Amino acid sequence: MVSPILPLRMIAFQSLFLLITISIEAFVLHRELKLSNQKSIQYAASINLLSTVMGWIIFFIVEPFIPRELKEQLMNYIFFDQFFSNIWSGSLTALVIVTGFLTFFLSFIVKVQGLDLLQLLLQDRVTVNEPELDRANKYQMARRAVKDQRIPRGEATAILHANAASYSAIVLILLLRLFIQST
Amino acid sequence: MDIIKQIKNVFEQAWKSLSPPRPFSWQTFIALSVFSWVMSLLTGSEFVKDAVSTLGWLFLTIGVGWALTDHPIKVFDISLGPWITGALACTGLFGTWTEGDSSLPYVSWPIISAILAGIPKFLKPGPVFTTPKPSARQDLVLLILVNLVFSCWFQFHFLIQDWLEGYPSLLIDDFGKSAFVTKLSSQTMEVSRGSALLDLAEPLVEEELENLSWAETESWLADVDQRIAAIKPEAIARLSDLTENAVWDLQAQVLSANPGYDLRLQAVWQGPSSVPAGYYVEKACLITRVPDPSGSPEDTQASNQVTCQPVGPPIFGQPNTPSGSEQQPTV
Repeated sequence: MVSPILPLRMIAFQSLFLLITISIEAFVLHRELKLSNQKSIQYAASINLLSTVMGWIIFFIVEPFIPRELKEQLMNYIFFDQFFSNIWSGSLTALVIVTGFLTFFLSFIVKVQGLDLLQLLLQDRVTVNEPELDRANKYQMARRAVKDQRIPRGEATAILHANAASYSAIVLILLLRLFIQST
Repeated sequence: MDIIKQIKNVFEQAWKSLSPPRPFSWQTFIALSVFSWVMSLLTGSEFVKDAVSTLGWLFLTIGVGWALTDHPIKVFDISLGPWITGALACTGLFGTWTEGDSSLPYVSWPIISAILAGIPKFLKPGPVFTTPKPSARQDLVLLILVNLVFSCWFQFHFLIQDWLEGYPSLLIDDFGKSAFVTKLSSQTMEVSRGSALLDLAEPLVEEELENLSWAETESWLADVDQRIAAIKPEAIARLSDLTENAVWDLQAQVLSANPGYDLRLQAVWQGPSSVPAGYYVEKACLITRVPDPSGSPEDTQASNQVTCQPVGPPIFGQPNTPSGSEQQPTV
């Protein structure tokens, strides 16, 4: 059981990234949704932790199905921070870029749904940017039974901005690390 | 006399604090747990032993959990109770933390502790089961999510261990640049399985060259790449069956030595590595001819193997001292 290899650096990095993304997203939510500081931090923390857990679960589900050579590339990246030449070397750049996009959009979806669920749970509906409806419009909307207004557009946009901001920060940190290592 | 009186006092105090003030209190459960443990020692049958010791763990868990609720141990304003109780519960449910495939207790420990920590919010004095107030729900959400992240971290650790079990030759490498893992012990006692592969290849090569004449030997050596490729599946089949076997390659190089030939058997690692081109381990074999009264039997000599970390295959590491006796070459 006592093994010399422990994922301590991963824990450190993930904790650092979580702190940074939660702070950035809390700031964006606070500005765009006009939430109190405490509320925005709590919301940001909840949706980011949820997205992190979802990400891990997806990774654990997918991992057994990764083909052996690709898994060896993954191991090489995790253990030695580089890739080596095997049959997957050519496609790796494309794979990394596609994975990056996928994680951005999946995390965005998880966060939007997460916020919606959270507000439902906390009985905390925040209505933002709803224009003043006069009677005629209100009746019209009620007749159309607009179901897809459940997520007010304001919140989805705010989370999009928040996600973009936090991902940019992460990318900057990773680039910085790359830069420092190469000097 | 005074000392004896003091010791008696201490025992009386301890007994007072440990004996149950009412029938339904945490001390009862601890006592029941001790009782169960004693019972489990006395019975012979395995089944009864297991049942009673599980009961004992259950009582211990309830007792400790209750005691910690009444007298919480706090670190930075967070009560440690649920985590200690959770650890006990996981031990009782999932068995040992150190033997065998021990991932389950670790991975479930944070979740179970979170559940235990969250239970008070579901209770009104009574105890009556109720849905928690919305103001308490946010804390509950954060509690559960943070502990799920801890569980994921533990699970990742066990995943890495599984990978390393399939590719143990990775352990001889340098993990300094990793963004994910650290190597705790700086001593690396591991020997790459390439050495095992070469040790297994050696008798196969000897077998091949055993009854050949010198001319046949030389033509075998001229064709060494194909000959070794033919031996490779047999050699790898004799290794313990691990996933990493697929990335080991067996190669050979022939150099002329003054008497005879220098056959270098090389086990080449083609899997993940800190050096982009990988590494190989080499076993140098001296092939010479021994004179014999009745004919000219072949005699192959293997000196020790050599481990190297090269940039590309043909680069050497440090040679070891040859083992086995030297043979006199024919003139």
